[in-house]
Amino acid sequence: MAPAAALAFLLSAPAVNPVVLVATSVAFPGQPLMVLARLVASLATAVVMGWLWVRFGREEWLRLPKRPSTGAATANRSRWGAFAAGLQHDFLHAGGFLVVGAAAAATFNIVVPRSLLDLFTGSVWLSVLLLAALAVVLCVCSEADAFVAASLTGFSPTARLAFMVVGPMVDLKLIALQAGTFGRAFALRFSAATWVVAVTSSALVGWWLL
Amino acid sequence: MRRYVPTVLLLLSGAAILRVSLFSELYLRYVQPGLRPFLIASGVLLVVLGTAAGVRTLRAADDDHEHPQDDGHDHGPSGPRVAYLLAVPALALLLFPPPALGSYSADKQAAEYAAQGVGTFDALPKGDPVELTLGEFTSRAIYDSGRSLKGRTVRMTGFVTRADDGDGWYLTRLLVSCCAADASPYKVEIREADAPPADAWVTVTGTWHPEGELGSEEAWPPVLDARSVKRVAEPQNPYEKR
Repeated sequence: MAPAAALAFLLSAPAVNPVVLVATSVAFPGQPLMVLARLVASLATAVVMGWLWVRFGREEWLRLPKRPSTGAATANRSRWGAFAAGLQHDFLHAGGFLVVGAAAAATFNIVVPRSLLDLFTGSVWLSVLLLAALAVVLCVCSEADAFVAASLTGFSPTARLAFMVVGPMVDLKLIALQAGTFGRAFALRFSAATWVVAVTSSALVGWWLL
Repeated sequence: MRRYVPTVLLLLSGAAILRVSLFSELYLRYVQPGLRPFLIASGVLLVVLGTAAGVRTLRAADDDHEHPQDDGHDHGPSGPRVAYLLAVPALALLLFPPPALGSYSADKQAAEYAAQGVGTFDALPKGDPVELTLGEFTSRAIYDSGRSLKGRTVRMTGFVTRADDGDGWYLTRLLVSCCAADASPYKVEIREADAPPADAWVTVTGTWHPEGELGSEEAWPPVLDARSVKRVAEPQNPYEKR
């Protein structure tokens, strides 16, 4: 599969699915436009990132993971053996990076005081950027982030939309996982670009729908 | 010995998950109740995988002493280096499982607005005192145009958080939608009773004290005039029922 399509899938799968949309409609009762805005903005971000990869992406950024268990020692291994070896490798590898991401998120969560948020509620533009940054740090999963967004009552609807669009696509644990799987060169470029596209798309969709 | 590192890490992780999900209910401190079957399945899978890895390594060591173990991969025989970090949460869960989130987390966040929009609610069950969650009480106190709480005695359980200024205090409980990372607090201001120490679990019985217009900022947070405050043990599930 072309990397562009795979990357678009990687971004949209956690962000645009029925469970997430239902959770959003529960968290924002009587505001169906918020659900629609989330769907449109997330989908647009994923598609634009796919197109950007087609236009500007370079294969050498993407260090595709080597298949484990191809050595001589494994040649006579059964299919179940190969399956178990692959499972073991992926768990240990991804799990280790997940610990790194979780530790970073927990540290930021404790070190950055929540009262900092109140300083920015006055400015519409700053509040969008701030909640988009907060989403990266908090690492809340996409099924639950709508409830967190709903509780951020001091913020404009567009800022909350940005929180929900950025969160499932760019956060510390995802960056750590991507760095582990595809290499740091890819993870940093990809996350930064996704963040910018997601914020832009939230701002546009928010301005249009909310 | 280093070739046994993956085995040990898999077994440790599996054992840690099973310890908090199958052999105790400690998992309720970290995730919502519905995730238990998935935790148990993952724990069992990891233990099976770890056992298989151990057997494989043992056999490989017997078979070919001359050839160095080759994974066909760019890591050494001990597996990816970053995987060592998995031992940290695994050992923490096995040896000293972290407590549930408490007043420290509740203080860091703005309280949850329970429901939105003023309207009527279903009638409360008959008989006083009526047992409510903090979320139910909050919704009815702030948004119920039928004023179903009026004249009723209610009983709620939560932990204590102190007001920033002075000596007021709140009955607090955290709502977890998915895992502890998304916990957000419900708070009910308690009046007419001295504050227990922060983080103490209490059951408060009392009556609703209306304040401000329905749905307005002044109605927030809801207030309860306490008749009795009783210290209780931390409940099995420390988070708000959903």
